[in-house]
Amino acid sequence: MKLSNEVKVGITVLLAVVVAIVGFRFMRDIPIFRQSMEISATFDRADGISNGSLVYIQGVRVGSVNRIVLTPETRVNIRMRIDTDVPIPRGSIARLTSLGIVEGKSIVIELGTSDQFVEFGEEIEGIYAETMMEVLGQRGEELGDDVSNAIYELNMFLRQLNETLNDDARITLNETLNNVSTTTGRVAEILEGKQQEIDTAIESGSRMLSQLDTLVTDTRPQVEMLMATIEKNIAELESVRIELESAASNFNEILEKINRGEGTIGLLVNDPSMYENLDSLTIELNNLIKGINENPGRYLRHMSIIDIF
Amino acid sequence: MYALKELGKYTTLLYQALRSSTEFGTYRKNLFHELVKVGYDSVPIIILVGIFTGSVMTLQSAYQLEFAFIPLSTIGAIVSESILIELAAVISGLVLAGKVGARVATELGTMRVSEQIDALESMGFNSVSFLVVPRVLAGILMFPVLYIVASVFGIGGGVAAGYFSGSVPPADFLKGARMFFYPWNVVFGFLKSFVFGFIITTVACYKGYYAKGGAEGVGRATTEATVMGCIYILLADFILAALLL
Repeated sequence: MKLSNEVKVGITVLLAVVVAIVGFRFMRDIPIFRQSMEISATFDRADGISNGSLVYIQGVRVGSVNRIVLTPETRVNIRMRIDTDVPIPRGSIARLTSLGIVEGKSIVIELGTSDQFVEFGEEIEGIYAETMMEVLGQRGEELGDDVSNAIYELNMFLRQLNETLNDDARITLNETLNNVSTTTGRVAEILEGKQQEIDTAIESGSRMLSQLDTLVTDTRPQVEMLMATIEKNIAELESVRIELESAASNFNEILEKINRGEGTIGLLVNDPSMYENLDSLTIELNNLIKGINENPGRYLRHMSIIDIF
Repeated sequence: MYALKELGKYTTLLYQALRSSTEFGTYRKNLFHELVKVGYDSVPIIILVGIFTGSVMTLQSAYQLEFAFIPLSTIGAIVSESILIELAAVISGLVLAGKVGARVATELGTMRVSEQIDALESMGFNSVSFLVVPRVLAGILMFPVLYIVASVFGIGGGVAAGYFSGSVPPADFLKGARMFFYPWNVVFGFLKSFVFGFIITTVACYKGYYAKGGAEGVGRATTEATVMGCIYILLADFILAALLL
């Protein structure tokens, strides 16, 4: 069919207009074919937010910022267009925050738990969350001096390091590194070669440990019994010791008495008269025996042999 | 002095065109013919221009920002905003200065040197109304349409280039494009294309309408229409940016 000029123009213009409207709504993040939900929230400030900034729920993009108005109380009222089937409970919180260091700001809605849901155009609570970069920015001046000091010192250190690392040192360092690398390689080789033995050793070690464990478990009652016996013995020894002690003290007493010359033994020990008596007795006995030897008849005069035998 | 004379002749022609634009019956048939020639027939080349502009912009932005510490969505923002605010209007304007401007200037110049315009006049036709008005109107009406085509295919080409080269995922591209989308930029681009359509067609009509000197004169008129059209487009682009942004 040959199209007339009018039809061609009509088609072109119509298509362009449709595409323009659809594209415009698409770019503005307005759902292309249906009405979307609108809610608003008031924040202390709105740094980094502009028309078209994104709105997230649980990390899912659900809409975009639609209008930003400064309220008479110098707070900022932000209206958002939300396009999701999930209803937003009353008591939800809109948090103006930044998702990453370099990403722009966006609004994150934290869902509440209420049974009632936010209606079209309703307002929810808004919280302006300071991001890391802002905090850094505020602290920046304080940190500045520290940072520059640190950098100066780092510089000095690096310079010194550079001086220390003259060519010789560098070569030595290089050689050392090479050696280390060779050594490491060898160790690796050795380890690789001995892998099986190491495995076996570890295995037998672990087996030994487990056997030891069983052994300990098995002999435990006996050991305990042994310990109890030993303890009993020790207790008995203690009583023996006490008795010995009292015996010793008694003995001491006796010795003391002996020392003092009390009692028979004491007198025996301490009184020299008995010794003297015995001594004189011995002398006299000696004399007697001598007398008998010299003159037996004197003593045996009145004794007849018959009488004796 | 020459420039002032030219300006005067140009303004006079515009005035005549404006005055005779009420004679709708005279140029109705020609208008639709011209709308097809300027708009409908230019759609393929504009689609081509749009796709290549967008994809080249994307690839080069991705290349330039490869090592910078910025999110990928920035590339989408850069490309789509550049296309909407500047490239869709200006590049298609330059292309159409060649395509439409040359054709208009040649048509009118040939009619002038072959005395067809004089014949029209002697038959009692208003030649300005019959020849100039439909062409200028077609330019004014169709350039914004072509701007839409160029924008859509430019951004589409950008998305496609980012996707196929693997440098920018479409989701990131569109996220950036949406985040930095300001309706005023579209209005501005629209306005630009409107102005460019006016400039290209009026300059071409003027050069062709006042061509003289046979085939050589027609050739000169065509060259001047194209070159001056391009220069005035760039000039107008600058003036609009300085005035409205």
